[in-house]
Amino acid sequence: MPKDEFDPEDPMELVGVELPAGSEEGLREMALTFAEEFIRSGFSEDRVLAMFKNPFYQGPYLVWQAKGEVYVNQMIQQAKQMWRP
Amino acid sequence: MNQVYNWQIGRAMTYPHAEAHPKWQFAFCFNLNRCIGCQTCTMACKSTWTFSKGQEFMWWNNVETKPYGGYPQHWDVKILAKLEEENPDGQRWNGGPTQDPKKPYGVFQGKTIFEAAEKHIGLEPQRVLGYLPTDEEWRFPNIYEDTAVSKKGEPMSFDPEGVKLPEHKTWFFYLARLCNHCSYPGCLAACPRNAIYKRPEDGVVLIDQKRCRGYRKCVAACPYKKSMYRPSTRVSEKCVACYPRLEGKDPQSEGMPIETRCMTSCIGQIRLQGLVKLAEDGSWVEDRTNPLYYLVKVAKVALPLYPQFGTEPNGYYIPPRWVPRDYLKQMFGPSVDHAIETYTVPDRELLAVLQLYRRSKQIIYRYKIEEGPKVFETQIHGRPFTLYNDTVIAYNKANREIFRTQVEEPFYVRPNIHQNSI
Repeated sequence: MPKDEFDPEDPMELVGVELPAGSEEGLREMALTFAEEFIRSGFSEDRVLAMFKNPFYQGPYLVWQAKGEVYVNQMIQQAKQMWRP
Repeated sequence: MNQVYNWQIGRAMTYPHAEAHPKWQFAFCFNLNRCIGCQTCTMACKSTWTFSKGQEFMWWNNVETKPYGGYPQHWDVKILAKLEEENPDGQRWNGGPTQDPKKPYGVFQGKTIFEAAEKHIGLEPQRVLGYLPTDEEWRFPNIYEDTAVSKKGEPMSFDPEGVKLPEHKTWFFYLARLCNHCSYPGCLAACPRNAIYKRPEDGVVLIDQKRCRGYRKCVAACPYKKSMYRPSTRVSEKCVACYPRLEGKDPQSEGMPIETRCMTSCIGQIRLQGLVKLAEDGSWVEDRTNPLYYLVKVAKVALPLYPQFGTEPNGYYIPPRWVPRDYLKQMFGPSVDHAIETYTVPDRELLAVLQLYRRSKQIIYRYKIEEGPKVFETQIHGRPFTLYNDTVIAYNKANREIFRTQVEEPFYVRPNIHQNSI
């Protein structure tokens, strides 16, 4: 068996821990935090959106993949309203 | 066993050595809302301290994707499980945060790693509850997360089609870690040779390489797993807090204390490190204009990592806003709600202090805020908010101005031509 695969039968291997599942609210808060942090730092809306679309920024990219560009744009607008009204 | 007072758990606890505290204490505050997991800090440390033979798997600084990754793998889950085993259903906090500086996060009713070890029945007695990670668990600084897995059956091969990193379908965050230079270090408590000591001038915890015989008791005892064994020298090593820099002996420092390599390399500007003044009883001397004192003791926006372990770690974290609260409360204690609420709608002083992050290499001993004009009024998360363009001024050990910056800092985009140049 390759080393990179978990074996649930192996008593010496920790195979999983219980985690609180992701919620819609959590995802929204995550997206909004990223948008707020970068808008606050002075990034333009285009640059923040580009970050969400970049697979190398895993967190923002996760939101963009799951919810799409319209949703991400809403988050950016919301952050802009708060920090650059 | 001696009784020592641990303000992070709000009570006295048992510890193998008598209570003693340094004059100053190395401490840091990380803003986890900003970490992008780039591992620049990890590489800065690696290229400074652990690039030699026998140190290949040694990462004094690492960034791990929580809740998935860990270095060594599952370090926190394993020690939490061991504590739970010793004290089933008893690892709880009593009440919530208080205004009492002796118990700001409430009182921890459960057992610390020192207390749990007293009744631990195992193959051999332990001074500190812990475990020795396996070799496999130490392989990568963010095991399985930043490390692409090679093709099955073809180890060390080059894949012309590219390999994929794991993608998560739910929340995660990056946790940057290094030695917490604890006030009651587990490594120091466990060493049978008394080879580990805490420096009286800055609280940095060091392993005397001449006294160490590589028994690895410290590796098992450190709950954060930041003491590491080096097979080529057969002794253990750990983060030295870049002490020549703290002492102002680094050629760059011009005699003034400067922050560690991992801190100064942080491109996400999530890290601020300094020294806090301690009273004889180990409490923080009121130092209202020290940025760390402000973040930890006044705004209470930065919290210790797993305070329930009982080592009184000196690394503090602004918790990430989007992570389920139960998870965060286990990791940072009961004050998480207050910290997140304060960070989400920051007040005038907090906004200014957050601007001190990564503007200079020098350690900031004091800051001063000069009030600036009102920029706008708005609502943030349903609460009225006014932004003022205040100026914050940082001072070094000699009380000389290091820099001044504004809340509304100008933003420059470096042209492409200079992207890879200094």
